[in-house]
Amino acid sequence: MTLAIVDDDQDVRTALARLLTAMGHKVTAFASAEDFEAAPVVVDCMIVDVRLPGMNGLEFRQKLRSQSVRVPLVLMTGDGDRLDRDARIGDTPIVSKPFDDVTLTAAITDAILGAKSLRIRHAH
Amino acid sequence: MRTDDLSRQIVESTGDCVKILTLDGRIQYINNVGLRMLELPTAEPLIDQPLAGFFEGDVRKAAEEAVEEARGGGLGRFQYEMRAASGAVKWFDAVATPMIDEHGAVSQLLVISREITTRRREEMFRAAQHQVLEMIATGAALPAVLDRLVLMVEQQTDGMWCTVLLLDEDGTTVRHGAAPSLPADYMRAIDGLPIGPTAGSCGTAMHFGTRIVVTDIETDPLWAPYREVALRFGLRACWSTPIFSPQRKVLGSFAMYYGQPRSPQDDEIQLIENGANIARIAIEHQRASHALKESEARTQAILRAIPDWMFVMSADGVYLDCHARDESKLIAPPAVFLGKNIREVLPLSVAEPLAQAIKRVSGTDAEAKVEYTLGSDAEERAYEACIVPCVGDRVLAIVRDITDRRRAELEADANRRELAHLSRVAMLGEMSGTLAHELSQPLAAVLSNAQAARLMLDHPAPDLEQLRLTLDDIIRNDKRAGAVIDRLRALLRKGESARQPVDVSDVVREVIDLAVGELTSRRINVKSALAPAIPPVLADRVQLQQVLLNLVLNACESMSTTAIDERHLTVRTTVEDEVVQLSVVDRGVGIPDDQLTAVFEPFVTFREQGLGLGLAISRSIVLAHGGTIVAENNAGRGTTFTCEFPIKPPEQLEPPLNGFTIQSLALDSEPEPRVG
Repeated sequence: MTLAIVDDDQDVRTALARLLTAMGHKVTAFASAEDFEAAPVVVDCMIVDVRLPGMNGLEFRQKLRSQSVRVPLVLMTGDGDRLDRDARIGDTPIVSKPFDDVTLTAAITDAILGAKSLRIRHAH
Repeated sequence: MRTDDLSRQIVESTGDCVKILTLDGRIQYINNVGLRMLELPTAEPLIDQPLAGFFEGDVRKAAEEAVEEARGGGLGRFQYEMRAASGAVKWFDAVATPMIDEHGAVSQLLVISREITTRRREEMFRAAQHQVLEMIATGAALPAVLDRLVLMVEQQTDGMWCTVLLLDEDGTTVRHGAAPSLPADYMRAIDGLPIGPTAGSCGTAMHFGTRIVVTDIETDPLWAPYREVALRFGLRACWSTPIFSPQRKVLGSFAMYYGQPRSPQDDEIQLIENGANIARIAIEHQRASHALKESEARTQAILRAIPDWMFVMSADGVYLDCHARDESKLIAPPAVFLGKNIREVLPLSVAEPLAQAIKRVSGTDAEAKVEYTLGSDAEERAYEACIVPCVGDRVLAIVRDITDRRRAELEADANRRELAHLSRVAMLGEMSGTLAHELSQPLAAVLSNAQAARLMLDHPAPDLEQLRLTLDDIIRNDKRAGAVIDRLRALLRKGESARQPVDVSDVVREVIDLAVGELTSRRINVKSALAPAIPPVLADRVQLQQVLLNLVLNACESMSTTAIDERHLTVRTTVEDEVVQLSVVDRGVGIPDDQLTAVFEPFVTFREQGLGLGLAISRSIVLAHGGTIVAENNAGRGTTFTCEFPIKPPEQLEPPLNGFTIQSLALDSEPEPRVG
């Protein structure tokens, strides 16, 4: 799979990219939503931190969806209190940091399936 | 005969009274000078009368002895007083000598009397004056002194009576002073009258502050209101002179009365002024001693009321005198330590700094404060000695028991710490979301790195370099998480406040680190403008962090309705005139101008949530550091909070209690307090 990571924390970004690469994915990492918009890539799924400088993860998702971009999204949060663990917003699952590879893989699968089902529903 | 004429001429041309007596002492001849002295027209009444018969008692005896002496060929001498026909009393010094006839026998006696009235009066006046002054000096009561003074002056002239009147403190009412020879009824009539421009001689003299001479009371208009009463008592002339204080304040009057119309001679004016002068000394002395007594009584009253102990000490630290309202509270009774050196009385660790302070202050106009404790454990009491220079090189040590104040200070300090801690906990609670984020970031990195490393190991040919980098990242992120926990632990710690040199810019960096998550999630752009090389301030680091964090979080809150691209927060440090300034500038909603001071009061808040304690606590912390905190609205938008901390700490960091009863707040505020 090709994946994009958006997280302003370099440590998180590097570690996550390292993990996903080790899992066999092709990964591109961005420090902000604006960075991604400046050089968009076509990916199977995006993993986006909620808390970002500038446009935050939720706003970024909103923007994509309002532009009918249906790319599967997984939101990451380090703030367990504000967004419930394992909750989702629409078609977007949310994972709480720290998370392990199983949780992340499940969320990515979830996001891709959710996006597909949405697309299928739209097609009908 | 020629001889006779000659001798007669000589006899008449002397100023003395010359008498010739028979051997048995009868007057045979008296010269004209003598007749004038006695105010007699002829010698008739005297001739053939025994000289001694004119005298009585001791004087007669002295005269007889003098005559006897002369008859025996010797020289006799005696003094006597005579009342002249006018009634005037005159003093004489008489010398009796024998007159020898041609046969060498004593034929007659010659008595030459010299008038010594003036000399005698002067002597008596001097003696009396001495006596009056002695009375004044020995503190005799004023009425007695003035009575004696009046009698003394009256002795100088016959048919003259004196009065001393006093002017009341009110400056208008006449009070009786002394008039031993005038009828009491007359003096009673005068007492309590007001002075004025036509108030007899004395009242007028006191009113104008000048000598008033009334030669005839019957006709003088000044006496119009009092003429009746004066004439009733047979008073016809009255000369009065005001008695002045050295500051030219009228104290009273000295007056002479006569039974006939009369104007004064020079020597009488001299006498009246003399009397007034002595009266002044007497009155002044009495008033001064009265004032002294009053001031002493006042001092005593003050001393009795003061709980402080006072010790008069010599420059080298010997106790000379002591005042203590309650001597039982002293560590030893005064009898034990008076006369001893402070080093013998107090433990050396206390005595030494006190002795040094005494030496330093002695003979200067400086003062010193020394705090010390005496006793041990539960019995320990704290004292504050204020040492000020006293007479000469002595010093006065004013010692106050400050044990209770100390306890209250410590209690207040503990309460403030407690409350500050609660407030920090509340603040961190409010930030729990972002703080969790701070912690979950490194934890997420650790977990991802660890899992990545395990996957790398599953590879048939693991990239060891990648593996090493990954492990390094794990270590680094673990430390990063540890640092977050350390910061939190410091803020959550309750412990004693510890003052240490703190770089305020460091505090800014630490707080921004802590709040960066909060700032990011609120889309606030934070900028710090830190002065290079800030001198350290003596402060409790955690409390400063708390103050700044509170200001930063308030600023965040105030900007929640500000357009996202205008959410700028600036934290600035500057150094200016011995103070370090710390400013937090926001672009939020601002504070109503009339509330800029009120925001520091407890329970005042402009936020929807919150008790309004944050700024009150921040202020109490800043004040405890000897600093100040103010809020000002910016010209454009938002508010600037500025704290100032002295680079040189004040001598004593008193816990501020102004208008902020920490005790009740700390005990009553159970509900979750929020920053305000």
